[in-house]
Amino acid sequence: MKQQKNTLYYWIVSYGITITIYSIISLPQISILFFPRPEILPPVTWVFKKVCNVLVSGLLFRSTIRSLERMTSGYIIGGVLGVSFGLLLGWSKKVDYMINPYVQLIRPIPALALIPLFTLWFGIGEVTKILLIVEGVFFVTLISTYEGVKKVPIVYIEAARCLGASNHLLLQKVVIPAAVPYILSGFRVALATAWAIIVAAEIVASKEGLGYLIIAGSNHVDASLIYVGIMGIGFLAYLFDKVTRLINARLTVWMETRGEGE
Amino acid sequence: MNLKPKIIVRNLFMSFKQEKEIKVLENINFEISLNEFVSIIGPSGCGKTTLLRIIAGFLKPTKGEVICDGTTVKGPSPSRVVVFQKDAVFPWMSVRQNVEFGLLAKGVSQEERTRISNYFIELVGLKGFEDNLPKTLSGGMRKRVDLARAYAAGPEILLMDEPFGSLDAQTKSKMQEELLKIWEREKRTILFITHDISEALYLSDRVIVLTSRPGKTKKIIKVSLPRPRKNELKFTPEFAELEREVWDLIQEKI
Ligand SMILES: Nc1ncnc2c1ncn2[C@@H]1O[C@H](COP(=O)(O)OP(=O)(O)O)[C@@H](O)[C@H]1O
Ligand SMILES: [Mg+2]
Repeated sequence: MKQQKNTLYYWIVSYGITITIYSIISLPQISILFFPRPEILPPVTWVFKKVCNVLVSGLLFRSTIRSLERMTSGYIIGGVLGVSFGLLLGWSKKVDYMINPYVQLIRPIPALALIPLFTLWFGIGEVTKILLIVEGVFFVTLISTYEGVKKVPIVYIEAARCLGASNHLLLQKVVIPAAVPYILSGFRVALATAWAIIVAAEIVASKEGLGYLIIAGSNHVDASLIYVGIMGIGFLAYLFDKVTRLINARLTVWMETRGEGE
Repeated sequence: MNLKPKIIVRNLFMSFKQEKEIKVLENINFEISLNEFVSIIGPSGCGKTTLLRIIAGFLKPTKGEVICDGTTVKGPSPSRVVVFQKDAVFPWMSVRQNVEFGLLAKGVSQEERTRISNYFIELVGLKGFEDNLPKTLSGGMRKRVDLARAYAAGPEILLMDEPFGSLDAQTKSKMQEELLKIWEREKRTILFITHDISEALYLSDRVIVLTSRPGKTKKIIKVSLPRPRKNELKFTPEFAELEREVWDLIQEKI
């Protein structure tokens, strides 16, 4: 309890210092020394007004929903595909030999480099943005699932085998549960990848979404709008991270050391 | 009583090829009858685990064969369940799920699984721990889960590879007593690997002594101590004498 109070105290102090410093240097009289226009380093009151504005007009809500939709559909599709292929490649040597060359070839290409190509192929609609996230999430979860399958201790597989387990039972009750910690860590890494992709994709090609707010802010020389976009992304990312962590804790209760970390 | 041997190990040779060939087992021959408790003892690295893995069907011998119930072993089978040296209890399953695993693999109905697992969980003294995860159990308790899981699967042969090797002395002798209790009640043919002379003698009908690598059958000792055996047996002069005999055998250089 006392510990918690202390942490809160430090939080307030820490944020307080940052906000105070920002308020001072963003005073128009001061910021004019560095920047030609006050909108580039907007005072806290302006930012606050902007936030109220986008809240009331519903722009923030719409943008958040848009990004959230893209994110969730891409993340889920990419994750399901990634885990499935990861299991397949990790399990079957033949499939591994056939597909792995492609994985090795495509995986190192940053998803961001694919934006122009995908845009040419699929236009600037939803499909492109979701596919980009799918691509990014797919490879990250595939690799981690593959790793997880390969690292299942042999003793568990042999124990299951001599107890008479079929391939199906072995996969369902032994290989997948044993690989869960790896799969989940893949999902957490994929989260960061997906956020990077969604923001980039929305900046390059979109008319709505938090990434779009950011680029619109930049085009109109309105840093407050950029702040709104960034804070929105930060909030969503935080939420997603919390949820995955909760799921993580739930699915790995059986582990000796519950490596929660930060 | 069935006089046909349950396990026949015949002219068995095993070597591993790495940079050069390592001979691990050389001309191993023995038979084990139905419901017999046989131990294999030998110095560390002499090929005991290798031998057990061949009998289990996880490894193919370089030469020779293993015959169980008249058929040559070609791969693992639920009629030969292994209790591994390492902790092989599935950590993501509760005690009950672990014990029921072999039954699930066989397609036994839920009711029947519950009935059988209840019986074996109680037999190994884990009643009340059915829903516990392995991480909440001590090393000795996990071994009990492993034993219950092996027995519940209904194998005819149990292959145990130093199952109590990692336990402290007290837990170990407790587990030995428990294993005998279970075996006396449930029988089954047991091949038990150990490097602990007292353990081998205390548990077994016969003890097969292997030489150091490459492992050869040095001698097969019949243990005619009366059953049921209690831990006190280990402190009797007869037991000490047998221990001495095996000790000398192992010390001997060939
Ligand atoms: N898969 C393998 N490849 C190469 N050498 C092995 C392999 N398995 C076991 N060995 C070697 O065979 C010998 C016997 O091993 P093992 O059967 O585990 O002995 P024990 O169980 O009696 O201690 C050891 O020297 C070990 O290094
Ligand atoms: Mg061994």
